[in-house]
Amino acid sequence: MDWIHHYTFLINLQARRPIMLTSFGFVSTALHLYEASPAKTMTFATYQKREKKEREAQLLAITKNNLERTARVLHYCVAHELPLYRMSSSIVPLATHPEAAWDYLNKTKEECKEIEKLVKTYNIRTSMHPNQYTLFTSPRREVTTNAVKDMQYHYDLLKGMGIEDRSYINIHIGGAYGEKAAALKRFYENIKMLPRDVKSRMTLENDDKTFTTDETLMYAKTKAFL
Amino acid sequence: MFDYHHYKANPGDAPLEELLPRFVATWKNTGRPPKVHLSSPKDDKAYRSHHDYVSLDYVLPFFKMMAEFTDELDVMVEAKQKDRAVLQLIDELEKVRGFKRMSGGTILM
Repeated sequence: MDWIHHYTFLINLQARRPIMLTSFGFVSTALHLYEASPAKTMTFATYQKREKKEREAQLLAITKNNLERTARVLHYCVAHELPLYRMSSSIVPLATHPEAAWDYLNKTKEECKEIEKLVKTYNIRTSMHPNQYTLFTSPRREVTTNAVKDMQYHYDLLKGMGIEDRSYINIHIGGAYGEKAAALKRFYENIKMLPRDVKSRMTLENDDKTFTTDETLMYAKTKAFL
Repeated sequence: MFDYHHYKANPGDAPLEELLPRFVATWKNTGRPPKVHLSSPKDDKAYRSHHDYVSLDYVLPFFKMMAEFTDELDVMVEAKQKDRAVLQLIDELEKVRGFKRMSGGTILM
């Protein structure tokens, strides 16, 4: 893709108006592919009904399938020359469940390696986006504990793929719980619980109800982000 | 990460032309272009819900303003139709006067 940058540079030299090279990507699955959703899951209720050996095998099979589908979608990005891709947060079922969390990385090395190869060979700019329950503004301690756990899961999965240093994990600041200033103060305090390496890949996004672009940008300027 | 749809739903007081350069500055020294999320509202009643596709008219003013502040931009399309939505948006952008498609997934604006 280097020629594109070269071309853009030349155009920019001659341009009388601003020129912007814009790259595109999409989220999770490619609908044009047959059954490619990388977010197949197992509920905790199902997990409880199964014998230990059976549920372990099933969890692993689902996860491997989700990883293989992720690789298929990456191939699709390559074929369409789409430089960006956001991976599903639901690749590993029950990864952070208090009673069912399991060691998913040791048994999926081959699948993770395949993803690493694709992302690095084709220089795909990958990211992940934990859901809206992963937030650092809650007055309830367990919400923050779970948010740390979930962020750690995203980071660990990216690390298992060897792409943690080139991927972003994006979240929102969170909810206001009736008082925005107090929530923001809690955010600054709670975010300290996030390990430094995980935080170094975190990005923050303005949301549609509570924290505006201005407020989100203010946090990005603080030292707490580093 | 700047989400244009979220901004439109929850704009705050600061004008966009003041926010965008501040947003661009947060990506300095990352070695990456500034990254935004794009979607368009389902309809006026469900303004916050994502539409199946991304409306060209909704995002075009944003691209035009953004080009004032950065040479490169990364766009994550958030639409129910996923890959179909991003490819359709690119096809439509390619036809905009002055825009040039550089590859399957990039447009020079």
